[in-house]
This record gives sequence, structure tokens and C-alpha cells, in this order.
Amino acid sequence: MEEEVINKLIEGGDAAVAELFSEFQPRLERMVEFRLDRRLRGRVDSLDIIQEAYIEIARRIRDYTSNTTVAFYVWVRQITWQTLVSVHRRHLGQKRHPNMEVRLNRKNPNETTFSIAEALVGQLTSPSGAARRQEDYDQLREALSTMDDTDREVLALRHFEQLGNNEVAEILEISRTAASNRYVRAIKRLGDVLATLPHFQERDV
Amino acid sequence: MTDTTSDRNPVDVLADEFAARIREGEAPSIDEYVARHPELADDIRATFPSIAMMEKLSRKEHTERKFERQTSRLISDSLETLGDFQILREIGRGGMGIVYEAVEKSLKRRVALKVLSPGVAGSQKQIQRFNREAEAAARLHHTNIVPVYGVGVERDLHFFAMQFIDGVPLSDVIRFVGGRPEKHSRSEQSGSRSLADRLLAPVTNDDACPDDAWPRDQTENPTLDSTRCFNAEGAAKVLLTGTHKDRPLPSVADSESESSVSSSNLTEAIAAAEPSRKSLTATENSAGRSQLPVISMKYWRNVARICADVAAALHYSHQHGVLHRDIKPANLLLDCQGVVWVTDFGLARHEDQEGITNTGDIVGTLRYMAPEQFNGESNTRSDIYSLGLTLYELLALRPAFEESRHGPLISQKTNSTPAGLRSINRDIPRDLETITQKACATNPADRYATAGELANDLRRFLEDRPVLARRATVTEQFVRWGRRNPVVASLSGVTVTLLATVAIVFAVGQYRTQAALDIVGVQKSLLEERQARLDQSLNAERNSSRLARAEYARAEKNLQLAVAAFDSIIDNVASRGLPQSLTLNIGDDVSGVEGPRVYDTILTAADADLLETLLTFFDDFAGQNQTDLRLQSASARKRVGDIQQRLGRFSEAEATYQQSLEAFETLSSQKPDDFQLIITQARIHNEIAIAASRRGAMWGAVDQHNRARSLLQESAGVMDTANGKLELARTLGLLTTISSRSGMSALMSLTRNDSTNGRPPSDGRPPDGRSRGDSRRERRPNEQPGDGSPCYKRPNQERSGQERSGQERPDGSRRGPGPSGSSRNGFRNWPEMFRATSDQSLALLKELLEQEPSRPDYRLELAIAWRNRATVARIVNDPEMGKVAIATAIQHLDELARDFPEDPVYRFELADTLCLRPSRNPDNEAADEFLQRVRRAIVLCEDLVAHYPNVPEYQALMGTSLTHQATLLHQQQNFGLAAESFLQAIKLQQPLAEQFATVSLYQIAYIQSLWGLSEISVAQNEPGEAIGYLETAIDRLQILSSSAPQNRMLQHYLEKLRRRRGELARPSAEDVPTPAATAG
Repeated sequence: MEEEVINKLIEGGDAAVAELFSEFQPRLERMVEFRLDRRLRGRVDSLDIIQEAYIEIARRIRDYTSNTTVAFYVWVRQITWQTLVSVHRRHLGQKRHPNMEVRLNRKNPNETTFSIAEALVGQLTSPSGAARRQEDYDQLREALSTMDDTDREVLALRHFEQLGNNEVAEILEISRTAASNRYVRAIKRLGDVLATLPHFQERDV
Repeated sequence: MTDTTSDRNPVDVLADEFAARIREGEAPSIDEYVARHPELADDIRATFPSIAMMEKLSRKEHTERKFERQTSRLISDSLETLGDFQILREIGRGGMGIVYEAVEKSLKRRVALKVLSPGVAGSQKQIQRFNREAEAAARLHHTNIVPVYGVGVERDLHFFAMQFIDGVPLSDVIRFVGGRPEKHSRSEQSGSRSLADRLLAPVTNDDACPDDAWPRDQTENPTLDSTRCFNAEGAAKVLLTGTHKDRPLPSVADSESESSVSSSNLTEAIAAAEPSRKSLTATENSAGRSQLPVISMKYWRNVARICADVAAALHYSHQHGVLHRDIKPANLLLDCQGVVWVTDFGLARHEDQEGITNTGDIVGTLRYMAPEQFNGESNTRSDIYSLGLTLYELLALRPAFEESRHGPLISQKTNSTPAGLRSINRDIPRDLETITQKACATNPADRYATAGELANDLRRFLEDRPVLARRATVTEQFVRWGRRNPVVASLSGVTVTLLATVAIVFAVGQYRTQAALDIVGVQKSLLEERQARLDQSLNAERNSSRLARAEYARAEKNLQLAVAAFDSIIDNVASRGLPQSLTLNIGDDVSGVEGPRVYDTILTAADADLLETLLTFFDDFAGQNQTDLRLQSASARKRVGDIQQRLGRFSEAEATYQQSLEAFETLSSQKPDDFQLIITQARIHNEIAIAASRRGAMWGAVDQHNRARSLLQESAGVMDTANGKLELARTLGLLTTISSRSGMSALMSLTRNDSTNGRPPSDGRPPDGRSRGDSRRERRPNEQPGDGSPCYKRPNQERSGQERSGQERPDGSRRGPGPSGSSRNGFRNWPEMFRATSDQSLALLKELLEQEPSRPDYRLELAIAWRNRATVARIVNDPEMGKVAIATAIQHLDELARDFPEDPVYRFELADTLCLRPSRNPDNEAADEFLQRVRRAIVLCEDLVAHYPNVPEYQALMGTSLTHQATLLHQQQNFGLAAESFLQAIKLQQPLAEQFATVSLYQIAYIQSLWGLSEISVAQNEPGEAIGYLETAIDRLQILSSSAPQNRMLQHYLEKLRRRRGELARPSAEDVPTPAATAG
């Protein structure tokens, strides 16, 4: 399967890269949307980031085809990720922040926590529920922060980025079985956490 | 994905499939998976709900982000033409779309073309609304309103064309004057800036949260420099210096003589502005904000002039029925003539659009939105509010509310007022501060009534005449803070208010209320802020005893304010109107189901708990203080009762009221001349009565009403006060309608056994309500529990809470013993007695209105007295009397609704009255007439629900109206329509019943509709369905009655339903007459 892809990439040139990339685009958009710092929302267009990533991918496609270690999507995602990181760095005006990679990466709890919390809480859209939303938000944030970093990241990868188990395994650099078990464990824990939040119990989710 | 399954957790494999199906839009059942894989049942149940949730939220998140993108991104790369419009250039873009400069080819005129993002245009409904409002705006012709030429759609893009104004939005002007030149004002076309450029620009608060939906500057394109006369800097200059002989900038709206001078003024102003521009810029460059001293009286006056013109434009548009909905600096353009233009009329979208709530646009709009608009309610006063905040910002040179996060911004706006303008800049004229404060008062009622009044007050300022706006005292400000729009004061709002109140009281120096704070545990930021503040005050207190004494005095003041806040909250909730007709009579013998009338769900149990905790503290505090504070404490106690009452916690409410009553009695004994104390006691007696009757404790209720009545009538002087009369009128009204609250059929059956006389006057002569003799003559017998009267051994006797409280109280010392034997007399002639009581109530109100004819509260009370009379008519079975009473009540309410179109209360009461059943067994004509009225009520309710989608009472009333309609249609054998109407009612009632499980009012309304539907099914020969509906109803009622086992009326109703089910279960079910069809 991956070999086919690589052959296609080698033989098809730029057109093949473009074709495969456009297949990935929706998922990449999800990834960028989910990971983009909320301060940059409305200012940075996720399509621009993906565009920028694409240029980088086209430039470095040889590196990939000559030394394939991961699935093509995982590689494309990594490049997009790096682009995202550099956009954050540029835009947020941070100097060389040694933890930048980490900040966006799974090792940083807050970024993922923040996005998940925001997504969960986002379902309350009525303005008059805003104060309550804030409450939910804080609760959830706290709850999620009690979860293991990898658990949290697994959930994000599986549900927000809609990745498959194999991809998750490659991204997290763990075995497929481990990734699968990790996921099941994480979702169970999320269930436990949500069950303790009174507002979520009431809600018809 | 093509993941293999062998190396995976089996739950994961199923989860993947489950998630994929959700992504495809399916709603896979968890049970299905359990059935397929029983060996994994536990795991599936433990994980799948969370998976479903994650997927749902993931989708939601994705949709929202996508929407944001659409709105913040270009519509298409380049547009050359759009319909008849030749696009010249893009002049800006914002969250909702792009603005182009264009030429309308056929007319060869220059236009600004706003093209909505596809995402914004949204659904068909929104597009229709957009078109409708743009058309309305197009009809506005005013010198300060940007003319809208028309709307159109082309290639799926919705756009509207308007006059091209060569001007600068005030938002840019504000930035410039405030020393924060808009960076876009640099000669750089925003459209040409690369993504990288935008990214590289440093993030500022402004950028993170753009506060304007539309582009800020129409004039920033360097390629058009030749065609424009000035930019933000020039506009700022005009405002700062553009005066002539101390006269503000002339306005087109001014008198002719003024405008004849205007052109020369302007030329001079602009000329004067030009040469100094360089030096100003230089100053700014060298010293940042150092140009601030340039601001002088001229600037304040120009601002006043501009805002007066905007207010006048708003007034004009309001008179033409068009709301702006989105007044903010970015929507006000200042052109090179110094004329201000209002743009984007009526085009703001409602906030409830899904998906855009997180965008900066909404926050930008929220910043200027009136608190009541958070709930989708826009009116002329919300436009005034937004203009007030704009005025504020022009004066303060910073937004009134700077919070950029959505939630905190809303709570800030609903719970606080902006900082005083003169605390920001002492130079701001006091009158302008006062005007601004009034324009942006949190409570709409505190604002200018019309934009015209605001314009006039600003002109008064310009003419150095005294302004009409009055400065609010600190107390008033606090009260206003609490008296927020009741709709906004939903769960969170109330909680926040209470929390803030607690925090203030807490500031006195007690730690005890920390527990209360923990109960709520919300609004952390608010809490922290308060905490910090009170830490400060605590420290101060410890450090200096002198200061501590000052703090103590302040705390005392705060307590009073807190009570005022409670009052405001409760009044506010109460002002929403309470449905009286919410329960239907399905046959006379179940009239008792009208008893458990519980309303309101906006307050929560947590609120009551919080208040109680607070009160404990109150009492301690009050105990060591003087009378004044005890009065506060007693009042607060009553407020707790009010809240419990509204929460349906009737027994608790009665107990709390009783405590409050005792406190008032003590106070009253010390100040016997304070009539208000006595009136308040009467009021509390009435509240206890209402609580008792809602529990089904009718005797206790009658007793309490009579106590209220005696107290009012027998305390010398009280009946000379208007409030005393009003409360007596109210008391009498409550007495007459107690039947509908507690089941008078039972009462009447008792009275038939009583045989003494003491009949009240039957001539219906309106008594004046002052003379002791009169009152005694008419007074209802005092059915005192425990006075030995046999009637108290009747089935309706209540043994819990109420009677205990009633019996514990000694016979009111102020109350005369009454004529001997009064406890057993009077009932034989109950029809006359009811009539007389109603007469008296009406007479009192008429008397009050004679003195103050325009008081809406008196007028409303009079309408309600007529409505009560209709209830009396039904009890005494006098259809003619009922007809007159209902017609009169409707007439009065019609007038009120007409006179106060902005106040939903009158429309609500009107609809409620329209739903009042005319008589027990109306003839065909009466039934037809009733049907017409019910239909009108439905229309009114539709309107209320559309405007206030979150108010449960309005939904409930609409449901009831529909149920009435259905019942009437059923009687006309119109089964199809009747069923449809029932289903519509249920659609409203079911969610209410489920959301408010403890509120029996909603439960019963729902149950009754179910029963109605069941009877329709019977009529249509569908016994299976009929039983199904009935069983659902029975289930509901069982839950309800088990929660209130002492309520016999519920039990009775339940028995009736069960009996009916038994009948239906028999084969001859079709022959059973249907109660709905026989009910009057």
C-alpha cells in the first residue's frame, strides 16, 4: 500500500504529490483548525498554512521518497505541523522558544486541553449561557488536565484529526497494539471524567 | 483508514466503526453493538457514549472553524462584475464579507457594494430577512443615513449597494485621537498584504479581536488617494480643531442659517487642519500619546454634535420602524464635509446564528450590544444603548467594555456599568458624562425613551442649557445593576448577581459566606476580583480601627443595597407576568387541578440556598444593629420566601414568610405609624396564602387572605394610603380567585352544609373600603383552623406546614374578633358574597385610578380585577357577568398593550386573559367567540415566543392557548385540526415538562394535552393510541403526585385518569363520552 504510494510519488512527480495532497487536505484542515492557537483565529487562514506546507512538501518530496520511515500522510502531517509551528512562532512574535515544538506537540497538556475544552464547551452557544459555559469550561479543563498527556493526544488524533490507529501509532511512535489499547483506555477515562461533570450529565450529548 | 484489526484492541475496532458511522451522519445504536458483541458489552457501554460525544463535538468544532474561515476569507479571488455592478476595487473586508467600490453600470453611479460571505448568508430564512431589512433600510432618506440603493443576488452571492461615502469610520478616528493610529492607515492596501505580512504584524488586543464586522476604512487604498479628501488622521483633525468661533462643526441637520455658514466653516476647518497635520504627526511620533492635550472643548462639542446627528438619524429610522441593531463606531462614517453617516442599517444579524458565536465579529458587535440583545431582543432602546457606548468611546477614547472574551464580556455588560467617564478624563464635561450614563444604562427603562430625546439632550449641552438626564445616585446605580433585563437574568445572570451581592456583603469582613461562594463556584474571574477587593478591605480593617469603622458604615450601606438588588431581581422576574389561564378545566370536578400552579424556573435552588446562607449572616449582623438594619433583614427574608415560592418550595416559603412576618410585626409594634410596615405584613399574608393554595391547603389560604384583609382594613389610616388600597384590592381579588387556585367546588360543597347568615350586601354597591362597618359587613367569614368549626374536618383540610404555621400564630391581635358566629356563616349566599368582593376590589382600583389615571400598575391591576371577576362569574355560573368581565379586562389590556408596545407583560397578560374560559358550559356562540379569542392569543404568544425564545412562561402560555384551541376544535368534531393543535401544544409542553420536572404547572399542562390527544384518538376509533397517550399522561402524573402526596387534587386527577383508562380498556370504549368534548 505505502509502496504503491511511493512509486506513484516517484513516477508522477509534482502532479502526483498534488493529487495525494488534495486527498489529505480535509484532514489537514482539521488538524490545523484544531491546533491553531485561538489568538490567531480570524487572522491566520488555515488554508494558507496548508498552502505553505504544500510548498514545503513539494520541495522536500525527494527526502521522503528516498528515505521512507512513516506513511505518507503521517509525513505530510509532520511537515504541516512544522509549518504551523513556524507560523505560531512568527505570528506570536516569540523569539526562539525552545519549547515551541513541545508546546504544540503532545507533550504539552495545555494546548490540547484547551482545544478540547473549547470544542466541548462550544456546544453552548446561547449568550446567556455564557457564564455557565465558562464554568463548564473550567471544570472540563481541570478534568482533562488530570488525564495523561498521551491519552489526551490520542483522543485528539483519533477524533479531532480523524486519524486511524496505524497513523496514531506512527505519530506517537508506539506499537499499533499499544496505540489501540491507549485509545480504548483514554476514551474510558474520558467517560469517567465526563460522568463527574454535572452539567454534562444533564445535557443530551 | 485501512488499519488491520489483528493487532488492535477489539473494542477499538468496534469504536472505529461506530465513530465512522457517526461521521457519515448515522446515529448508530449502542445497544446494537452490545447485541452483536455481548462479550464486550461492558466495554462498549463504558466507551461508546464518550465516543459519540467526541464525534459530535469534533464535528461541531470543525463546522465552527470552517465557518470562521469562510467569513474571514475572501469570497472568491477576484470579482470583476456582479450583476449590473462593475467592481473597481476592494475597499476592505471583514468577517461578514467584502466591500467593493463599484460602478452601477446602468446608472453610472459610484456605489459601495457589500458582498456577504456565503457562510454569512446562510439559510434561506436568513437571506429573506436580509432582503427584507435591506429593503426597509432602502426606504430611509435622511441626511445622516447612508442611502441603500438595493439588494441583489448573483452567482449565489448576496450583496447590497449603497451610496459610496468618502469617509472614515469613527473607530479609526477614535484610534487616532487616542494616540493609537490604525495601522491599516499606513499606505498599504489590506487586500494586497500577503499572509506573511499579516502574520508578521504583532498581535494586539485589537487584532486578536477585531471589533468591527465590516472593514474599518473605505479610504485606505493608496491607488485612490486622488479621489479622497482625507483619512483617519484628517478626520481626527477635523474633530479636534474643526470649529469656527467656538461653534462646533456644523451639521447638515442644523437649521438653514447654520448650514449657510457651514461651507465656509468647513473650508476653514479643513484648511486649518491641513498645515498642522505634520506637526501633529511629529508630536505623536516623538512622544507617543502626547497629542492628547490637543483635546479641548472643541472636541467634546464636536463629538456631541456628531452623536446628536446620529441620534436624530436613529430617531428618524425608529419612526419608520427600522432598527439599526449594530450601532458602533465602525458603522459611523465621518466624511470630509464633517458630516456623520450611519451605515449598515438593519443589517446586523441576530446573535443566535449558529456557528458564528466564537468569531471576533460577534465579540466586536457584542461590545456595543445592549444587554437585552444578548437574548435576541432588539428595540429602539438597544440602539440608544449602542450609541451611548459609542459616545462613551469617543469621549473616553477607549471602549466602555474592553473585555475581549465572549463570556466575560456578557457578564460584564449585564452586571456592571462602564467606569465613570470623568474618572478617565477629568476634562470631559459633566453633562456629557451624565448624558452618556443615561444613554447606556443597563436597564432599558433607565435609558432615554427615544433617540430623539438623546439628540435633544446633546443639543441642550451644545447650547449650554441644562440637560434633562439626571445623575444616578450610587444606590440607583446599584439597583439598576440588579434590575437587569429579566430575560438576561436567567440562571447564570441571577447567580452572578447574587454572587456579586454576596461578595459585597462579604466585604463587611465575614468569612462565613465563603461557603455560599463555594456553592455557586462559578464566575471565577469575578470571584477573584471581588476576593482581591475584599482582601484589601479586610486588611484595611485590621490595620486601622478608624478605617474599620468606616468600613462598617459602608457595609451597612451595602446591606441596604443588597436588599435593593434582591428586590430588583424578584420584581424583574415577577414583571414577566404569571400565567393565570395556564391550566384548563377538563370537566368541573377536576377543577382542582388548577391548584398546583407553580411558575417560574429561572431562579434555581442554588440561588435560594445561597440567599439563605447569606441571610444567616444578615441576621447576625442585623441583630447587633439598629432598627434600620432589622428592616433590611426582614425584607430580605421576605425575598427569600419569594424565591422559594417561585421555586415551588411552598412549605419552605411559608416558613420563611412566617419568619419575615414576625420580624415585621416586631418592627411594626415599635413604629405603629408606619403604614408601609402594615401593608407589607398584609402582602406577606397574601404570599403565604398563595403558597398554601398552591400546596392545595385552601383553608389556610383563605385564612391568610382574611388576615391580610383585616390587617389592612382595621389598622387606622392604612386605607387612606394608595398602597393600602392597592393591597386590599389585590387581597380581595386573590380571595375571589382562590377557587380557581384551590378548587372551589370542594369549598362550595362544604358551604352548602353551613346554614348561618351574615350575607354580604347583594346590591353590588362599591364600598369605599375604609369604613370598619362596611368592611365588616362584607368580610368573608374567618375560617380559622382550629376554631372548632366543623368545616375544618373536611377532606381538604391540610395538616402540614401551612396549618402549623397558621395555628402557631395567635389570633391576630389587630384583627377584630368579627361578628359572632362568623366562622360558620356566609357561605349560603356565596354568589353574592363573591360578587360583592369583586365589586369592592374594582371600586378600590377605580378610586386609585381616579387620582392617578395614568399609572400603568393601577391599570394592570384593574384589568386583572376584571379578569378575576370573570372567574367569579364562572363560579357563580353567571355567563353574562363573565362575558362583560372578560370583555372589559381585554379592553383594558388592549389599551395597555397599545400604550406600552415595548413591554411584553401587557401582551402576555392580554393573551392570558384571552384564554380565559367564558363560562362553565358555553353555548355555541360563546364557544365560537372563545375560539376567536384563543386564536388571537396564539398569535400574541407566537410573537412573544419569537421575541423571547427563552422565556418558559411564554412557551407555556402558547402551549395552553393551543390546547384550548384543540379542545374547542374537538368539541366542534373537527378531529384532524384538534389533533394537530394538541400536537403543537405538546411540542412546546413536553420540553418544558422535561426541563422543569418539579414544576407541576408544566407537568399538568402537558398531561392535559396528552389526555386531550387521547380523547381525539378515541373519537377517531384508535383505542390503542388513546390508551398509549393516556398512559404516558398517567405515568407523568404519578411521578408528580408522588412528589406531592399531600395534594389531594392531584390524587383526584390521577384517579380520574386511571378511571378513564379503565373505561378505554373495555371493548365498548368508543361509546364512552369524552370529557374533553363535554368540558365547557
